[in-house]
Amino acid sequence: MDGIRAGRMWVDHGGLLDGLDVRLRAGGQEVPLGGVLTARRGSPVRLVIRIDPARTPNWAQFVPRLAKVDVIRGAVTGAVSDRDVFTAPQTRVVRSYDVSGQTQTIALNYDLGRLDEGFYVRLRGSDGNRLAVGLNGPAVDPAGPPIDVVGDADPWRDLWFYTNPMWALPSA
Amino acid sequence: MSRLVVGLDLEHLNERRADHDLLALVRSLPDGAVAAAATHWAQLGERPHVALSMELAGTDADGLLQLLSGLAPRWSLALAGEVHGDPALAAPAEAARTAHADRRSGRAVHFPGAGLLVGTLAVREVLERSAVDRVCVLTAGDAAPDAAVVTREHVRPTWQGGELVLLTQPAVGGTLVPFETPDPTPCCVDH
Repeated sequence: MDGIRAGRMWVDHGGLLDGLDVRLRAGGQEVPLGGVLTARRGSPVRLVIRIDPARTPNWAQFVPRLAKVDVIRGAVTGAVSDRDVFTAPQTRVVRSYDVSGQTQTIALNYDLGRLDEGFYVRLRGSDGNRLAVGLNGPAVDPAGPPIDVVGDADPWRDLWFYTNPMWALPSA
Repeated sequence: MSRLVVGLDLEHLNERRADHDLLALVRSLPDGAVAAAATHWAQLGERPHVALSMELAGTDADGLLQLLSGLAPRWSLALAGEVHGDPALAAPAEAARTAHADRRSGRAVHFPGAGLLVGTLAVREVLERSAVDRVCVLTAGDAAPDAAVVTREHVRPTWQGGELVLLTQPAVGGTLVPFETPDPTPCCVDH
């Protein structure tokens, strides 16, 4: 329960992953999913990802194959003035990794640059079967989840995982 | 032709029941008396419910007023400048009236040509046969004029900024279906 309350959460569809460990590191500290990392402005920030792809069959009797991992980053800009707004400022997919064919633990390290304004980062991944340009265009999300086709959607052929975000905020 | 837009609130809990009573009201009035009828999500304190609006092809709401008394224990009818019935429901009734009159929002249940939107039609035919101004595909903008819309005999376009817009989504065989399903699985069935 403490883990859930602290936001250390990720979800997947159809047993796409066996395990996932993500850390955000800066200034000699690190936080897991749901964590807030406070570090001095100018500190280099690094994302450290370890993913165990599925090794056993899911309930549909096949071993799902992870094909890609996306890093999504957005700015922290304070409270919104219009609470009906549906977009997050500067949020976009900043890096996409092709991990198809990998059956052992996948290790990815992503350099997020030096900490200036606060930001958040989260991960998303897919079996790569169904991809489409996102609502806000290819500069924001070139290969996201497309809308289902009514009467022709097989959820087992369209598996994704999503993590909670982690935040990096400057202390000075 | 002069038209009168009225707002109604009979405290419907969902759109399905609202549709049923709204269409019953339309049928109870003389043929052609109602040009358009719509539903509107409304708030009464903390409780969301569905209010109604009707566009009457005349200037007089007396017939409607007589029907209402027998229909629900609490009701409100908003005309331009005056509200009949329960004062507690006056605000949502008036909000539904202005939303319909301004074509700002509202989900049209009865509208010119609604009865002709049956079977599978090209987008172009939907626009020609009915008051629908635009057909959009969810996440993809305007639908191609030749795209096939499988109506499922359930078409509920909404007013958006003065236009009556039918929102659709992709369906099997390259067709489109209205985004609103005729027989949705109720949310949180049985619990």
